[in-house]
Amino acid sequence: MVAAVDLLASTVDGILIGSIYALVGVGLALIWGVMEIINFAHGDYMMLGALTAYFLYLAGIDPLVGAVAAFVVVYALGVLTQRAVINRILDAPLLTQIAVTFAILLIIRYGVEAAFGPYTRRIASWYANVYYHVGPLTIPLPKLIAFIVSLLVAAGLYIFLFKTDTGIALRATSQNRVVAELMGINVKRMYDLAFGIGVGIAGLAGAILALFYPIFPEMGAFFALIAFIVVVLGGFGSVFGAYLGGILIGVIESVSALFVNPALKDVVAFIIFLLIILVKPTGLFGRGE
Amino acid sequence: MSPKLLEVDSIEVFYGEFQALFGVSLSVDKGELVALLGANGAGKTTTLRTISGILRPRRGRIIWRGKDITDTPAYKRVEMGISHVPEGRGIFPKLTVYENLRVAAYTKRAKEKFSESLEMVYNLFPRLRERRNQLAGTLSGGEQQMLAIGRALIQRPELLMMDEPSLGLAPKLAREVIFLAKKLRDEYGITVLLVEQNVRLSLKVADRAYILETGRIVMEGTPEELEKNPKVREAYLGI
Ligand SMILES: Nc1ncnc2c1ncn2[C@@H]1O[C@H](COP(=O)(O)OP(=O)(O)OP(=O)(O)O)[C@@H](O)[C@H]1O
Ligand SMILES: [Mg+2]
Repeated sequence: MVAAVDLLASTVDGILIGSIYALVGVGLALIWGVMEIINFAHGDYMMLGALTAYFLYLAGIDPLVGAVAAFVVVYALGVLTQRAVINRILDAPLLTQIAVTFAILLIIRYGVEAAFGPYTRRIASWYANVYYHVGPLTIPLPKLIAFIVSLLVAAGLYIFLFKTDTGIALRATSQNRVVAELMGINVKRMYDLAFGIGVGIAGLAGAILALFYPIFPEMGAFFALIAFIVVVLGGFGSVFGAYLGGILIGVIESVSALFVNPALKDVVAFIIFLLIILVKPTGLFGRGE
Repeated sequence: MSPKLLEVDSIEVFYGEFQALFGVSLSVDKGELVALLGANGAGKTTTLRTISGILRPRRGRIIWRGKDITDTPAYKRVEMGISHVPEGRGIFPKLTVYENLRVAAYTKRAKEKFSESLEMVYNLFPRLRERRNQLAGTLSGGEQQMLAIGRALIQRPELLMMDEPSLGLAPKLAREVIFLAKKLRDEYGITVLLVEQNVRLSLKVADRAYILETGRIVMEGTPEELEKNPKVREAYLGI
């Protein structure tokens, strides 16, 4: 029998970790929604963000400040990638696009490994070992911070997409790029923004994840997989659907660890994902095309 | 002599290896209402797309106020005063009516006058005001056409190009939309290039018209001249 308190604790923990999945997924959904590019290198931009925060931490900068810097750095790298590579394959066949973003993945992942070694690194902030006790629950401060940052980023993204002229232009571009151009929108500039913000959010997620998670060159692999699932669950391209999808996967994973061997918790999450998609191929929050 | 507002100078336009336009030339003077007429597949839409910059001609030039803009990207041409209401309306279905109008004010030229323009569009199309918070994809065809035209007006165009605005509308509405082109010219001083298949109605409102057949201009003239022409009477007016 699983005690109710364990169930509650796992659910809370699932929400906290899910809020990171959500951020990574949101970035991927934004890029897909605006550009119809599947960014296979998404998890590796996340790793770059974690690494940025780590090096800044070594230089004595608080990881939370480092997280903001991680966004800026990865955003800039994203814009660079967009201009140098992605812009040229926008109308290329799907397989070409996949091969290209996969090549970017390899370059980043193994470039980092070659440059900085295959080591696992950790950020030990002053709050790394602070825990809050709320009733029967024990909540680690780093995860709580990650959750709050995630909510703030989601809120910020919402305001940007729905309340600013640039955000509305970005949504317009995602719906019809030719007509967006006829509205006087520089569509290439919108692609810079979408790709930059998309991977920048992943980088930021990597940085706040690093508050309680090890950093290593291949860390992106698992999170990219999760991000894909989250985007599909959320109804391909729906940014806020992806956010909810992320939380959901976090909870499923965490709760299922109570019932099965914890080593299989991701397997359970993926099986549930498959079941949901078989029943509702447009995703949980998708309205179809 | 001051240059024409718009001059299209022998453009040849291709889709891949398929040639859609074979040296099309036309011009529009400030304050004119010019109709570009022709059957399905004649190249009307291709011509408008080349003027607005969505397509590049392989040969030939687009001249705007005496300046060659053949290589100017589409989004900059909007800032210069060229607005294009695309075929099939091209509204953004998942933006609200208001957001569709707001996004049309993306250029500096339009942004400054947005609240004034918005009032003008809402007065011209009260339906849009009523439905301003509704997703544009849920509007009826006629309402979508109003939104597409409203959006172009928000852009504060000097030249308004409309691609078959009457398409898919009931006869009464189709008539209203074509007469709206005239109203915009007469009351707001906007130069209009109107693409239509409804030749009879278009000749009622136009100052001049061009007839396009399989990628070539085959006739040009005032409505009186064209209406007298036996070929036009037979092929386009069914007389
Ligand atoms: N995207 C495209 N790819 C290939 N060929 C095209 C494309 N768009 C148009 N064409 C071809 O170019 C020619 C001109 O098409 P265009 O759309 O300009 O005609 P139109 O006069 O606007 O016709 P309609 O009245 O049916 O809208 C046609 O033969 C059409 O098949
Ligand atoms: Mg057409």
